[in-house]
Amino acid sequence: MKAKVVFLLTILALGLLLLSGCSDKTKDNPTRPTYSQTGQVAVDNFHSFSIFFSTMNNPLANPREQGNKPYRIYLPPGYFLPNGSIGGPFPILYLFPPFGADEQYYFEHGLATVADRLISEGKMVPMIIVSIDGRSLLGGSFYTDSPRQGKYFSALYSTTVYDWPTVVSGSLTLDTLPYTAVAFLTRIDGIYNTIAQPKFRAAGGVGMGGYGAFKSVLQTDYFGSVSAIDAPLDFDGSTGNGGFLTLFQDVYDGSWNTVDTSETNIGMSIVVSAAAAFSPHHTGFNVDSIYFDNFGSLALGYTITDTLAADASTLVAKHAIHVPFDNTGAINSDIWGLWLGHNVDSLYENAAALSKANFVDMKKLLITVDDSKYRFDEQMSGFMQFLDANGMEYQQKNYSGSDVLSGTADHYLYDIFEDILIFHSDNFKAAGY
Amino acid sequence: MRRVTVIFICAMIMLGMTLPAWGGGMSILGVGAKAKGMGGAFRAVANDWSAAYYNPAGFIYMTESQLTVNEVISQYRAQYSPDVTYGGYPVGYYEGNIYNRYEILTNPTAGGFFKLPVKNRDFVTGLAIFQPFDMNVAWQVFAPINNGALLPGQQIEHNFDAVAFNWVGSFELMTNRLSVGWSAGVLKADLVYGGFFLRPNPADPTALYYDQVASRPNELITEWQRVDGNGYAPNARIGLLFKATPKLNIGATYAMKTKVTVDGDADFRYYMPDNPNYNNRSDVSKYRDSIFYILSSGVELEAEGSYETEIKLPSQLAGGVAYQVSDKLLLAADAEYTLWSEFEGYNFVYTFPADNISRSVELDTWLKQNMTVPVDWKNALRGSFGVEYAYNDMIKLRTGYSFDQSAVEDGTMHPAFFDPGNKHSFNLGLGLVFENIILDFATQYIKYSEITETGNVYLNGANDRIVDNMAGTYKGTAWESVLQFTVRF
Repeated sequence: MKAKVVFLLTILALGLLLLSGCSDKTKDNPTRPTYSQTGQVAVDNFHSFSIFFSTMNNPLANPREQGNKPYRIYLPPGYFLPNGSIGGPFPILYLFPPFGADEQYYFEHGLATVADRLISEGKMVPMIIVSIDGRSLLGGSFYTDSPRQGKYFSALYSTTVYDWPTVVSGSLTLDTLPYTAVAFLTRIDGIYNTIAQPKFRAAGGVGMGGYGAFKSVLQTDYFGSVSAIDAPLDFDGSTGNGGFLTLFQDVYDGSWNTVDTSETNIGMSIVVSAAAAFSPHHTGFNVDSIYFDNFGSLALGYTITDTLAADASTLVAKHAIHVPFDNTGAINSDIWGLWLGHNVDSLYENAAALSKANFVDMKKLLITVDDSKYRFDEQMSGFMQFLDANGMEYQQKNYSGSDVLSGTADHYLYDIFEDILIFHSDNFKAAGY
Repeated sequence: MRRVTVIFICAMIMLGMTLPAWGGGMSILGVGAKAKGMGGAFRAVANDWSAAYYNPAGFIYMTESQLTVNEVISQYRAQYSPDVTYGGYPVGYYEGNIYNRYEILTNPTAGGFFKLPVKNRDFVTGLAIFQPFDMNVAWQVFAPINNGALLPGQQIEHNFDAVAFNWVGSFELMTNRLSVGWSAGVLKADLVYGGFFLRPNPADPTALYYDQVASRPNELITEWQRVDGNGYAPNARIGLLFKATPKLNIGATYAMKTKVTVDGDADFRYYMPDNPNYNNRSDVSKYRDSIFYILSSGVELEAEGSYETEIKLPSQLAGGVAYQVSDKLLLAADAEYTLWSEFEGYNFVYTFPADNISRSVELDTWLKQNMTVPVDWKNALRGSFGVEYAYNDMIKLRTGYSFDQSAVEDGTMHPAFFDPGNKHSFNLGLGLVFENIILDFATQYIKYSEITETGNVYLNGANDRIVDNMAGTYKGTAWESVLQFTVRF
């Protein structure tokens, strides 16, 4: 009997001991986050017959090169309401593509995905984000008016009346008629439910796009905050002989007769495009310098084989541009001076008083990368020195890359989006949105 | 007797592939209820069937033949909080505390031996089935951020069982002073390894499409695999038991290194990054057989094949002392040293059928590359201390403690080989003797140290550019109970 009691008590004790370990079995594990709110991406064309007018355009060329510029726009969750009406109005961010990239560039790097996530997480306010093709026939417009590449800057911001050769019905000859070109910004504000106030507009961009963003905020009063990622913001860098000057040394092979602007030599394409933007030839500028002419067939992907000359008498060439380097690669100070006139510090110095004051107070975000392309890191550091010297505050962040992916701006845009979207969102919120 | 034989045979058949508690590396934390009740300090005691594992030389001093079955019930709560980034950038690991797949694992094991008179000396022989190595863990920690799919089943599933089917024997070298014993036979290894590899995107960095195809978050391609197979290899361990005085025993054992080749079936999934904004471009979509199209298509590629890998299971040196303080009180202590540095992880060699996995021959060559799961382990020491108190002839109370070093080198932890930091094990045991039947029970609580590891580690020299650890915080507890039924005859 005693043994039986001991046995039963033992079994009971063992059962309790076994049960005592049966805890914690209902703990939930995290899973893939899902985002209930997603925006929509719309694609459209900005058709303005005159805006990209340039001497390089072929009237028979693809409309994309002639007057149509496609743009892509992110419309946030809440833009289209369930009842069929439009929500908003929303603040808007203009993102300018880098050299050689079109309006799809940011979206190909996950812009809409990141925006959806940040909005779902409450890290950014819903905003419209738009990007327009910034390319020229040479690869990049630098968002600058140029007779060689077109009136890119005017196209973005100026609603202008141009005289334009037009076929008049019943007439065998072209007539010159006025043509009203509506600015891209005006068009966007007209189509989409934006808040058309500077404090609810922002500009940003990678590389050449970052330059376009700073140019936009300094030469218009349309924006309230600005960001740039690995951008050419100080043409000669912090040392005064870096930036584009170093880039040129990197890509110049010692002869202007065999300049390679193919897709595998983007650095030289940038130099040539920048020359087309900043030092295009015009008949009033009679200077003895190296120049290109006859760009009629030149486009990104072609190799320049034209015979070049240093003879001032040929400077009437229709498509000529000047490069600020001679045959030995030495700087031509006159031409280089034209470039520096487009430098951001010059744009600041020459800006209208109100624009200048706005720029001083404007929130600025500068993102640098460890593996900068085209010596833009030198330009970024030079620009930050300029801001420091003038007592202007800015936020800065650096991307250094990883073991499997070098730290270029292209490679880390997916992460950089988070920085710039939150940055601009915070500024929209601070402005009262 | 016939009934006992039937029980024994049934126990043999029941032997499953589930686990007992892990020790350092993939060692188990003891065999048998009696030894476990004493914290595993049993090499100089070795007086039941578990001597086949602890010290086969102990068999000779057992006065009766025995047959034993036992049931192990285990449950683990391993916790991992991932902190895996590439240069600080997230790649898809979940945030927060993640627990391993919760299971209550049961594991029946058995052993038996017969005391036989051979010539002028006693000789004990028998059979024992025990599990010297084990790992069983499964996790869901990750979802690729560049593809909307979820990995199938358990993303990380590591179930390794090494079961020894051994012939045991023991005889005396010096009467009542020194005995020798062996436990040798066939080791059956079963390996299920499911895991994912984050492989650097194979796009050519000099290609014009590289930025669109391989930039964040597409710099890594997720490959998931699950292999399931088994293999056999000889295994052996020998032991010495020295009775220094009538009260003091000293034991020593050596277990040989075992190389076992495992082969079986393999399933693969490859998750292509999904970048529709690029993939739908007309100048991309017209090249549907190109590597840049497939690498941005978001498709899930599948393949089946077979695999083979050689597993090097470590040798082990161990010793113990036991002191019979009085008729009622027994003290024991063990130390074991397992050469886990001999274990190299898994080098999978795959065989694929002739079918293509993708439409790109270039990509297929990359997809079919062999994967490795290397480890950087160090030799590990385990110390244990146990007490047995005979309350009376019927009831024996036991307790024990063990300290178990982790075999994993600092900074190289991976959830598939869960062994974070040093472990502390607290044990209680009870023995009940009913004439020729013995009922033993032991319960064991194991506390793993909490460790936090940072940074990515390439254990094979970054040849494959695949990170081999998973940074983050690890900790865990385990609870294991054993009920053992022994018949003496």
